[in-house]
Amino acid sequence: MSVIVRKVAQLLSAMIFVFGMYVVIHGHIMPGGGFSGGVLLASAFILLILAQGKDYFQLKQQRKITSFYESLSVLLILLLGAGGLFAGSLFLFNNYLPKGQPGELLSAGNIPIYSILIGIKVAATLFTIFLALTIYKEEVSK
Amino acid sequence: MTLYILCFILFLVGLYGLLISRNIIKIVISLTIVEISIFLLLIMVGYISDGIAPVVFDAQILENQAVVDPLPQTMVLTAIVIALATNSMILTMAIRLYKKYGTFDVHEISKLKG
Amino acid sequence: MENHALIFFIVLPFLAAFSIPLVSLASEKAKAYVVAIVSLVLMVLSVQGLFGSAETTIYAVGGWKPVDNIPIGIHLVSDGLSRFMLLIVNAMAFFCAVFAIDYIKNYTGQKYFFTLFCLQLAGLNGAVLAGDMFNLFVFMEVTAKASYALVAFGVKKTEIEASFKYQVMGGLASLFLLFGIAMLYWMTSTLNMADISMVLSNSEIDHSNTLRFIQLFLLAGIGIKKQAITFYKGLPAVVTCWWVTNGIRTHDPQNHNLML
Repeated sequence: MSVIVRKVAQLLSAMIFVFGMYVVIHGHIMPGGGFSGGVLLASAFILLILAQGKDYFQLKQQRKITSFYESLSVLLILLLGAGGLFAGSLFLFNNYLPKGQPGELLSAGNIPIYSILIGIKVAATLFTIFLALTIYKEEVSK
Repeated sequence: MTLYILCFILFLVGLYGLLISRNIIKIVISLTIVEISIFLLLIMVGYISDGIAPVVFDAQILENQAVVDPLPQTMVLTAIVIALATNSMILTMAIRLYKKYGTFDVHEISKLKG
Repeated sequence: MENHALIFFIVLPFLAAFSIPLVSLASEKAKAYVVAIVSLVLMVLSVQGLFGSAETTIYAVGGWKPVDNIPIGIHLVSDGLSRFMLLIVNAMAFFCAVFAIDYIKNYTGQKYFFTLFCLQLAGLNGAVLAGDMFNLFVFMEVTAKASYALVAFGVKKTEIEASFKYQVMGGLASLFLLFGIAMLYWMTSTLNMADISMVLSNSEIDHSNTLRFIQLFLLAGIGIKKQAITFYKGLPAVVTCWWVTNGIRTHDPQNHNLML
């Protein structure tokens, strides 16, 4: 890609990343949330790789890191859900943290935490899929 | 009612494409069309005209304002995630198939019976 | 103190599935034993459930109480048949896991096999226990995604072709099922199986024509999914067991219409 495309992609991907973070963090008070924000986060990385070419990242190493975060975030979600068994109520997936004022950023108990973890999970998964396809294509073309 | 019938026609268009096309990529596209017709139906089931989004902070708004049904929307969101998984897996298989067989034509990819 | 045994059938395999990539970073051998231990625990739990009390137990995930007699939230239902199904699924999974410890050494990418195996186990358990239609769909999809990948695990020419055909048919089948569920929700405004049965038997309007339409879609979905309609071979036979349970649960003696 030419210099213009690469520079614009660099600038844009930072903005997309910040917007994705915004959507993930505000998941409980506005439309959006973990999945949509996670897709935005992943697309920031994918845009970088598409513009800069495959040598910009070390793809295989990145793939190990993303699959690690993918597993870790799901485990944390499950543990947070199982926390309901021990803390406060005796049920799984209950909203046992303090609720706060509706409409505030820090409110709704567990839900923002779930939404952030799901955002990490979705971003890591989509990026892993993209990396797996890219690595496979590279291996075939050799 | 017309909208629902159009939605069902979209379903049938996707089904037709799935049944007659020979190219693997076209099959995947047809599957996506069927998916999207069902998402449309689910959204239309929960929609009320002049309803607001089901994100409400004030209980008094609810008394004189219709709110669209949030349950089909969550169902559609879940189904979109599932469809994403389906599409990525099926496209991965398509790439692998193209590497093994060298073609996208389903009539030539027939080592197995059935 | 509630009986929390039901939720473990779903949470434990998921926990195992997503801890395997982390476990295999520490030690390569441990992951096979993790799966074997998890399925052994589940098998013991299901045997215990089979010889426990005979009445139907309902586990409300999250502890959501019904509002105006309309159930909300996710429910797991365990009656006699689903206890029996759980025993079959988990016993089979345990023996497969023990067998796989040695067998899978022939293949590369072992951690993916065990992750997929656990996901399939979780999906089957969830589909057997699911108390509402949409959960049934979701768990069925979890099972299906894992089995698509497991069919193509050896990446030979024929295996990938089989997996592709299975995916196209299975994807279409699950979309039929989703269409049926959407129509059912449109008609009854509920997803809970017991509540659907209640609404249908109490309603004054004659739903029989719409029901027949829905039945057709559900039958097509489940039939293609379990490959009863097509003549395509090469399917893991385990998939058959969940649809029997859920079919019978949705079927109510007073209401012979919705016989899945």
